[in-house]
Amino acid sequence: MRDNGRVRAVLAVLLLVSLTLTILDIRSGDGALLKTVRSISANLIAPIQQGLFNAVNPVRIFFSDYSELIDARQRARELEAQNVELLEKLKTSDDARRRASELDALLDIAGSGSYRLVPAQVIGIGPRQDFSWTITIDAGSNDGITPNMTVLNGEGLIGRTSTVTQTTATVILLIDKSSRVGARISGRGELGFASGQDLPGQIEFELFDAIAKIEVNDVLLTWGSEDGQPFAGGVPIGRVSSVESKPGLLTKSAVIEPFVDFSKLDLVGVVVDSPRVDPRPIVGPTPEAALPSETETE
Amino acid sequence: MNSARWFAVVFTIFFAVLIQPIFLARLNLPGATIDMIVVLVCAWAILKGPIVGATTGFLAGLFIDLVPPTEPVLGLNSLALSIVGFSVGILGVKPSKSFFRPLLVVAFASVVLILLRATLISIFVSPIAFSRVFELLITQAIYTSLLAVFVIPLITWLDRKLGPTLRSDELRI
Repeated sequence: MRDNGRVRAVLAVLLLVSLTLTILDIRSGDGALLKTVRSISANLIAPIQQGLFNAVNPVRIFFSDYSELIDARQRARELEAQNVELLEKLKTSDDARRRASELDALLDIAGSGSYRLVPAQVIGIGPRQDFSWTITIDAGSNDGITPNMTVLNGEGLIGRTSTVTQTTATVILLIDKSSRVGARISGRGELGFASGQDLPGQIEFELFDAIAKIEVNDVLLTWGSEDGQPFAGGVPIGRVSSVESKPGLLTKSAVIEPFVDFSKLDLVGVVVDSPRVDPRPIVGPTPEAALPSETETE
Repeated sequence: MNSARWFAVVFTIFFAVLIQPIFLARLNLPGATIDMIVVLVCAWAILKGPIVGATTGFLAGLFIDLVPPTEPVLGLNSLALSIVGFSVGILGVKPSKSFFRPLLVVAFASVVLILLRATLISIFVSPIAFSRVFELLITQAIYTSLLAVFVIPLITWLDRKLGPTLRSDELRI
């Protein structure tokens, strides 16, 4: 009987300690004691994590290569079909050419952004059971990374850094529920907020203007924050896949399909220095104007 | 519980928490991420009873919250895993008597863990859509019970290596 009491006492103490920690963490907000505890522990663990990653990564690559082999065959078939379709379009319509030039312009924006990037590799991914989307990358404060920096890859925006240790950093992905990015539609300039939906393949874009024009396949870019933190300007986010207009509401929203495939993140870049030339005014009718050499007016 | 055994508990849990984001989460399997941590907590709870189960769960939760890239509110994982560890401990299944019952217990416990964690996150952080939770449950049950096939014998073996078990370890309600 005495033993039963002991069992209950242990459980009660553990639950109480957990709850106390939870409430302390929620109540204390940013920059508090628990934040420091977390950053110290992250710093202690970072070297172990990185060593383990280096040891384990070859095994992982072997597994993922195998599963990709199965994917590859199906993908080849899909691409062939797509190729035929694209060739058809190229021959028949000018529309495709117009779209291609728009894409070129978009590429110019990214190029003229001339962000200074620190390349980094993804070493850890948070479990889905946490209902949050976070990754660890192998670059930290030693590489000039601080919290709230833009993270992107060749396809587009990935997210922003949060906890930073000397050698690693945690990145909160664009699709995380807590993620909210100021964005505008490329070419139209309509503004709004893109927010994560806890889903890998879609984010929501809420326009400020309820009667603004927005169409499927419009491209969404970040509008950029002050000093480029947490989000640098002009980074491609995604493409509009459907527009919802709810009558009576003051805002209009659209579903965005992100350019980045969040299940296959590997090499990313952290923007350590935003462009001196803001890429925003470059969006114009003549593609030549988008060259960075001509936009510098010093 | 002697100190060597506690050391084994801490070491196995710490290893699982580290390997989860680096290896298991990056396998890109459909549905839930393979949860080695809950399987380990269940294995220790099955072998050593509710006190060890709850304490192991608590420690595992703390490690999870402190190791990047997870950034939930500190203490939520400890709360959920202590409850799971304790409950599995008082069920009193014996791996020596039945092969499948421990696996069933692990599968069930891991599903309960997801529901518990989702509830706690919904209360303390932000609400989670039910469909998001639901789509993880089946894969979670499959992955954890498959993992338990290997983990439970491994922990049993480790436990035997660490010397005879004291009467107080086998504590049940």
